[in-house]
Amino acid sequence: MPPGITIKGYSDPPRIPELDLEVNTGEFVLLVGESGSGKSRLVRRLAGIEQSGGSGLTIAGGLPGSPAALARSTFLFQGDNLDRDREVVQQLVRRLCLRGIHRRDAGRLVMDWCVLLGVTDLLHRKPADLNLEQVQLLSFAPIVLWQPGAVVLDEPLSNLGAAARTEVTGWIGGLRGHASVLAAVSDPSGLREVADRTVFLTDGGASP
Amino acid sequence: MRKCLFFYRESMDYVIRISWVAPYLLVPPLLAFLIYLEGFLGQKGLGAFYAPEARLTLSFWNASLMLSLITGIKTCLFVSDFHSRRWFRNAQALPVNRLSGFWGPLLAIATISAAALGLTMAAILAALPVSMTFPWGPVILSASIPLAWAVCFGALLGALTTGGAAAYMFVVVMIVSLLTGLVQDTGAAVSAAAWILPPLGRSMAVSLSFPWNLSCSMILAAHAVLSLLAGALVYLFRLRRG
Repeated sequence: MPPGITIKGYSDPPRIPELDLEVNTGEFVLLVGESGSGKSRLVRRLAGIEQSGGSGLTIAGGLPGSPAALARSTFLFQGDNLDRDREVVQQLVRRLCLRGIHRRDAGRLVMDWCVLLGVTDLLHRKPADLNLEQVQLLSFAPIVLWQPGAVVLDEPLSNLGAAARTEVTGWIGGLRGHASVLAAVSDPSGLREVADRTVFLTDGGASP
Repeated sequence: MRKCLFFYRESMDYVIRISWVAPYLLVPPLLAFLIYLEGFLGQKGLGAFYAPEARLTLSFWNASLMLSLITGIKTCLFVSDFHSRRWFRNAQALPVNRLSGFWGPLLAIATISAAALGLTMAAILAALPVSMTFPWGPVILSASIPLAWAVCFGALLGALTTGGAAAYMFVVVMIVSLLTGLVQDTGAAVSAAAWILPPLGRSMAVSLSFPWNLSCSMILAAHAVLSLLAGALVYLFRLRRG
């Protein structure tokens, strides 16, 4: 199977002189780097939000930001995945609808998932009224309830307490079977056990 | 279709809020006061006494200009705020049409403003006597174009700068283009300046005098289209720069 995420000859000087990385389908790769090492920028560039200046990035078989890539991939950013001022349920349902799920089914999926998590009381509230852990947990809905081809996560365990970290680690582990998963973190603890590979961003580039 | 309408729906969540729609509630009482004032001053010989058709046209224009002012300011504030939200930037990683991040909010504002204009015009028609020979189409069209211009120009300014600065610029341009147009001779040829400053006042003045034509309104519509295109370019440029 072709790799779901390819990073070839990527550079972000002076932070990342050169980075080559392939994440195969069904594989979970952990990219570890200190704060300010250029991880978040790499995630934004993979999402096509920021221009990568001709670096060899591909995701889900397409260039970052291309309709083909966006259709089969999902991103979780470090924050602001949901709008602070609108009801959570409405936002989650619309995101699932974008993936071709019927509105009624999307509503049911979100509701069932929240029942499972025990957070149904949060659905009709706005992210601005929730704490960071609750928002981070709810932001996972479009990833867990839909089967993306490629998933890119930026600090997925930040803002989470011990119990929630275990829960999210389980979700990420569950994605491995069908998706290429790349998680950028500064602290690998918790995720390193479920990752297939861990790559460290160092001054000279990446080291296994 | 969902991918194109995503940002339209997201924007509609905001623009249907009571706090957003509330300023439009100012229009009916202000309009009623203006209609009363025009009639009162006309009877006292202190202002122009308009024929019923001209009063109707003037009322349409008063409604359109008030709505345009409110809509333009709100568009500047909304577009600037919406585009500067970090959530909005992250939403570009969703499988949505990227340009819809520009026209989605615009279309949402236009929907609400057009509904407000339609209701106001219906109220005017119900309140003022009107003959069957009244040229409905051209009058309603020419009175609607300022609203379209306000949305498009407001979006351009909102994409260019902060909400407050954009709203300030919008008010200045609107007042200047209205006042300079009103004092011009409606019989004179349209000057080249109309391509620089929107002929808002001139369109209104032409509508109130006979015989009149839609050339000024068409120039105003061209301003709207150019503002829309320029706004889309600015938006795409800012999106690329990150």
